[in-house]
Amino acid sequence: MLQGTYSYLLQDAQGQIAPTHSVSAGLDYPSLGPEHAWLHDTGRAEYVAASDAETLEAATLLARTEGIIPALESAHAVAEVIKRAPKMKKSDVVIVSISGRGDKDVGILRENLKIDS
Amino acid sequence: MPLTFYKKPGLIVYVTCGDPSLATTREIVLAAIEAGADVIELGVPFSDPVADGPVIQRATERALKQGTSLGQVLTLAAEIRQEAQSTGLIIFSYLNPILRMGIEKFCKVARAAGMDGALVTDLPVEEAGEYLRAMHQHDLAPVFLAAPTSPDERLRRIAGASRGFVYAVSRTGVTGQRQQLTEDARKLVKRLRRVTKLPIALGFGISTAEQFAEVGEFADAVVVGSAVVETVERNSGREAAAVGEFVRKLSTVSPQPSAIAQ
Repeated sequence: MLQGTYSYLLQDAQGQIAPTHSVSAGLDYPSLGPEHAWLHDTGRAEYVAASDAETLEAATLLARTEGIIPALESAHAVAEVIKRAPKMKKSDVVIVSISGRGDKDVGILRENLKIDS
Repeated sequence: MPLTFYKKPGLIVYVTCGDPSLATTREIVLAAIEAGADVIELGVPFSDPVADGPVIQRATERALKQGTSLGQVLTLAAEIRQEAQSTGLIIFSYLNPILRMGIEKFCKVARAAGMDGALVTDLPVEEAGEYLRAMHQHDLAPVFLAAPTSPDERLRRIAGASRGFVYAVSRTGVTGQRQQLTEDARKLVKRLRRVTKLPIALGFGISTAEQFAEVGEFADAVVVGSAVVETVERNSGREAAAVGEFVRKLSTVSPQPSAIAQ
């Protein structure tokens, strides 16, 4: 339980909260919404991970191919799409939720991708 | 073992266990008891002490650097109990370390260590069902916090779930010493008196003998935390002696012998 919320936590065996890191601010947090915990426990949703590098690559790819700059949080989902798409049929339908815009992350993108201003 | 206050006001001392080391905490606690503390709150350091100000935050960091854990605090507590038969001992912790250990296991170990009760900082009464069942089953007193912002109905619920004493928080905000106690403190104790017969301990912000005496006029016990923790911080190498001196100065202000037993 952290900050009044009972959910999954990144913690050690003594219950001390683990330090975290993510290139995206919104995911740089040791817990997650109780709804997600519930969706996981009931088997309604599957949870996967993407690295900072995969995320930045995904954000860049989407921006370059579609002109959509996703929030870095959302880019984690785009990274998963990139991983899964090659194993799918052209007729399969994939929906990815771009939960936020990446205007706020342009600074991070420039820094990490070393794009000259 | 009943939580007993041997004088009015009783004195409750909080320490962050493991700062600077568990061995030193043992000495500090024994010195505080010798100097007049009726109850000791054995603080378990937690990575995210949201209710604590800078003094206890720093102590927590130092304790965690040593790897101080709930398990170790319980072991230390049992040792202290061996040497202090008539002092109230309470485990003071945030909820997560207790959840990680398991509420049932925590209660079992705490009871075996001879603890009188526990105070879980961030566990509201509304969410305490499982905890209360386990505490009662193991004959441990659950202590809860009442705040000046708690409405009367909630104070009633808090008092109803409490055993041993009710911890009235003197003001909103985090732990830490203040120059003046607010009127909130007096008002809160008055409101609590209407809903409980348990002793009422007042804490947060108390550091001087004058404040101790003032609070003693309307509360049954006074909790001193940050002031003690800061005394430890400022007296590296002679922590126990310094705490003993500090506690003695506080508790000799109102020598009114009285036993408020529970």
